[in-house]
Amino acid sequence: MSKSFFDLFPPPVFLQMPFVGFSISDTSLRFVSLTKHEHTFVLGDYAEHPFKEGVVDAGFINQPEEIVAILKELKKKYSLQFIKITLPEEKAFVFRTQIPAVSPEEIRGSVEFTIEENAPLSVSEVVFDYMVVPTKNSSEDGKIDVVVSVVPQKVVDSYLKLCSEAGLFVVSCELESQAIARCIVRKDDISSYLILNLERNKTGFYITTGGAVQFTSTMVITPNNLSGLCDEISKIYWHTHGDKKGNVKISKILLSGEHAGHEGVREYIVSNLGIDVEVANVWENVFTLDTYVPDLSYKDSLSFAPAIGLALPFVSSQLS
Amino acid sequence: MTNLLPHAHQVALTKEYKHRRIVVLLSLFIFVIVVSIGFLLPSYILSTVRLTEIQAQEVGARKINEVLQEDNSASSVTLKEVSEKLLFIKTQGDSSVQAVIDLIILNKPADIKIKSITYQSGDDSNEGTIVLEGLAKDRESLTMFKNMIETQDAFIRVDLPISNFAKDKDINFSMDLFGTF
Repeated sequence: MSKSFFDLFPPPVFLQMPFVGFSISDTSLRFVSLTKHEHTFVLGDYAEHPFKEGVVDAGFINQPEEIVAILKELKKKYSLQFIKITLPEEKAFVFRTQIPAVSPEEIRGSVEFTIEENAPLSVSEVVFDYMVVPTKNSSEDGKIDVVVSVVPQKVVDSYLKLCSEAGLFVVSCELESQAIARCIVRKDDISSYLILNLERNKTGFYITTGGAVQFTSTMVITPNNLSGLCDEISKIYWHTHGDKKGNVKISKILLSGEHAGHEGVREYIVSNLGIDVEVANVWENVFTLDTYVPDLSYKDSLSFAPAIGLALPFVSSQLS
Repeated sequence: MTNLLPHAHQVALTKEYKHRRIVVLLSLFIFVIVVSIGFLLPSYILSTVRLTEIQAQEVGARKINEVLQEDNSASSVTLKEVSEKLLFIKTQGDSSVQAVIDLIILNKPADIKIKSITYQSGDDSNEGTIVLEGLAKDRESLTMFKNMIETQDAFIRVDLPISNFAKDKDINFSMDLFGTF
């Protein structure tokens, strides 16, 4: 395979500022680093630190000193400096809206006007970003479809403070749903999927189209309550984002999270709802298992999806 | 991909990257300078050694030049003195003195060698004096030389002290010739 100029003369590591993905959930802290190998990536360092009960509760950090100690330990052990972190889904608002067709420089200003209509927060109290969703009729009706992610400023600050106290430099913050979607949905796949993030004490429901998360909802439904899970899927699948709306037609349900690999979960949903369900491959955009097998088991890797999604290099051109 | 990093942090990140870029460029610059110095060092050492040699040669040449200049000045002085004497003889000297000296030299026997001729001109009250110093082979040749001089009209009186005859051979003599020259 031919080598590019930068393969032969790579920029110095000091300038590349290599980063790792950190996922902070209610139950644990996980990190993953990917190492470039020829034209793909392979699994580098990874670690998981479970939290004691109550350290993080529904995305709210109760005991920051516990997390800072873990971050410091990981920083020292793995010589970490730059990191990407996930922000809690429960504290975020993700909505799809339309704004007037304006120049790219003016989109952010237009999006700002839509925040208070769609989230119970004032613009001055939030951190937001958006992604333009290409649609068939966008140029004709003079509107642009955007997916907006909004998180309260104090939530972002609390997570950034943890990292700065541990001596880590944050290069990016993403919602857990976005990191998971980037990890398990193939880069060039434009289909719509319902992603179920099955955690120990909650379940995240994310609808993604072309890798962009357009809807998120987090409910306190444990994987033990499979009937409740099916009811919620049914609501979202058929009534909220079904074929009736036209824009989003969910083609498949993807399971991720630490309980996604439990036996019977996939089969239960398939048999009850008759929908195509698949346990996600978290290495979808990293490498093929034909060429490289990581030393992390498939079942364990499902809980690392947000961290792997963060550790993937930035590829989108739609970032504002 | 959406990035929910606050604007202030994004600015800080950009600044950090710019700082790193400056560090890399400066490191590259320093590396180039160090390598250049490494490559130029042998040339510098060689040129320094060569400079020292040339300076030493210059000092040596200057000393030689000074010595030559001193010699030249000494020679110049000698030449100047000779020129002055010749000029004096030409301009100031009496033609009769030359004739007397020619007479002495031309009539001198082969056994007599004259080392020096000293002339002191006379005036109205004193006679002129020529002092001859030389080496005679023996008493006979010295006596013969004295007699030959005495026969010449140019000389009024010839003084040859008796002490000149103390030795038989190789006699260093001094003879005073008086006359109106």
